[in-house]
Amino acid sequence: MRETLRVHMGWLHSWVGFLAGLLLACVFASGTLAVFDTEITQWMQPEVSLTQETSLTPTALQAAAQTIQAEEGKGLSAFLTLPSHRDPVLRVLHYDGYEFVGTALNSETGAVFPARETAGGQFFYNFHFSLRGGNQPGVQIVTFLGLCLMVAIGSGLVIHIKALWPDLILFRPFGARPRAWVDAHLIAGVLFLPFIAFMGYTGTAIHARVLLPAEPFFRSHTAAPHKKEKTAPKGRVLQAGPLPPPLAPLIAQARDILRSPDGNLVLFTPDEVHIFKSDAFGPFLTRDHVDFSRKDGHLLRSVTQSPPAVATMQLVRGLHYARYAPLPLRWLYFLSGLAATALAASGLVVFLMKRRRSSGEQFFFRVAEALTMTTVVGFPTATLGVFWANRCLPTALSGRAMMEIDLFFIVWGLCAAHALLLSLTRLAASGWRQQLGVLAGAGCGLPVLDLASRSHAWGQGASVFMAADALAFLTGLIALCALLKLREPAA
Amino acid sequence: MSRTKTPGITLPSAQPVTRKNQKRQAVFRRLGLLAVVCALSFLTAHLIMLDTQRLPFEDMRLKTDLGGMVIAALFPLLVLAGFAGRRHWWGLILGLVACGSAVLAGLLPL
Amino acid sequence: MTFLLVLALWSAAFWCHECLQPRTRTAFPRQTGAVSVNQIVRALTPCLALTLCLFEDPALGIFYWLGLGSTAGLGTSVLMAVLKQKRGLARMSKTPL
Repeated sequence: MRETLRVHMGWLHSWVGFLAGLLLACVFASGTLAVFDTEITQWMQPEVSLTQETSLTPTALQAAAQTIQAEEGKGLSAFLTLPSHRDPVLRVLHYDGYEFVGTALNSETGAVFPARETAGGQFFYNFHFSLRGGNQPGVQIVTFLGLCLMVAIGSGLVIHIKALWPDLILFRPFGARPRAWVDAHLIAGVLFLPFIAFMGYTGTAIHARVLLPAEPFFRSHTAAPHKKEKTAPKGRVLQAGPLPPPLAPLIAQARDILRSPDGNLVLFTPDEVHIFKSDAFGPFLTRDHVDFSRKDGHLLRSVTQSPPAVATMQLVRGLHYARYAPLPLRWLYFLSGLAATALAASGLVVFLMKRRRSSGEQFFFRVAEALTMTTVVGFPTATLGVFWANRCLPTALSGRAMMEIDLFFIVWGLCAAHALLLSLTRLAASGWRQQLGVLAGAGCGLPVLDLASRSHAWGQGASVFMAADALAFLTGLIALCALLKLREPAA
Repeated sequence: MSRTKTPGITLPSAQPVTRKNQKRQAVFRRLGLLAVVCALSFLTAHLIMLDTQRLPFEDMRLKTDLGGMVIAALFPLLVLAGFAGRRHWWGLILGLVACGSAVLAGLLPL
Repeated sequence: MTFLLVLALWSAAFWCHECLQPRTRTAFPRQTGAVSVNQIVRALTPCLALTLCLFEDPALGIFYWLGLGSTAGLGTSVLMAVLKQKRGLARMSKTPL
């Protein structure tokens, strides 16, 4: 075989793409869901009313301040998110090591909503950048996968460069088997290339320091050991502060300085109250803030200017996190995320199809097929499992949030075990069909379950529920179509 | 060239065993090259991250963030160039030059 | 409304691009002068779409332009595939796996 550049790059693209793609597909899918993390949390907490105004009353803020102090008494570093158009409730949150969880308060009365305990959309957000594995090894793995993605994109471009322009929108779903899948892979990759490359680059750049810390691998023995200041672990406080002063005037003053009319973040230290600008105003994820004394509420300082280097990083973060995006743009992010997921999934299928004839009988091929099944069908099934668990588990159950997450991993693990068992016993086709059947049932059944649970009203403010149910139903429908297609006898 | 116009591929007629061996050797060569290229790129990236500590900013996080931006762009380029440039090893030479530059940037005074 | 118009403009650009490819000539026969029209539409409509996006939202217009362009490309490619299938130009389907 002639070792042309195209052949060489094709080999690199296939292997890097397949090995990284097994997890990248899950990272893309969870990132796509994380675009609507707040809305998923709202779906998962139907007890929280979404029809109220975003205005804040001193009573509500006083109740929030008391809750904050109570949380600090338990050693938790709690903070406030003020109501916004996207999430019109007052939330007292803390970091539990993985997600930001806490209570929701009515922004007018300050009454606590008796909402069920859930990790909500935060789970998908955390899974997206760390696979829920913390900084080490979770974030490191995802960052490494980001580098692999960039390599796969580069090599893919080299392979396809000559056909890139003429075959820009060439799609032959009714063509021969591998052709249709290759076309789907190329269509998703080429049309959404700016989005995928940009998100891959920014995601990798944001967390590169976790993969390659700025410390020498081999430390000098003569160097003095680095002294660490005594700090509380992330999400915890060493000492509780006094009850904060009335927050309403502080928030009004901060909003005036920051020119941020709603959705601010309020952080507390034992001595100070920090009010941050909302992320919803512009693509720069600024950390502009105004600080007040926690004792008497007098203004300490305001930080509203960023040098160019800082502003660049703010833009990189802002564009990746998309918290600034209005609803139509958020949907475009979501669609592009779906395309990225389809790119990875179709790439995995193409890899298997190309090798089935030559290596289909080999052990490693069977393992590869099982892993592909676990990623392509198992991951969405486990995701829908979280939604099912949210409606099926008793609302007053303690440790409910953790149970939902455990269920996700149990379902995913079961899918993996099922896929491995059937693939290794040469029944992979049945495995695909059975898992697609479960996915179709889970997806199409979710709206019925949501309706039957009667957990919320279907009147005003139900668009979140309708959209989530419709998307789940659509997922089920796509799985059903794939299942029916697989049942057709091969021509 | 459009994918619709696929030229006929003619394979040289060789003994199956020889072809299999050739293929295996080619795979080993590629794996070796990839390992060397990746190691070199990681070393370069690490050195760049160390070099960022010399940037004139107070915020440590900002320095590593800027280093991350450079690495995220440079690492894939070095791997691709190293893997693509087989003839006269220009890809590897490029990687070595990048690595050498990172070392020099760390040694030379600002 | 603006975004729908942008979507339509992008779709027109992709449609013309596909019509200019030799493989599509048999499916959609061209008339004399159609090549120039297609080329002009292909060049101008994305620019017009960008202008509209920037006019609608100067800060985020470029993102709308890119996102809607990708979506329009996807839609047009599926539409083209269906139309070609209807005209009997694509081969029959087989099972996907």
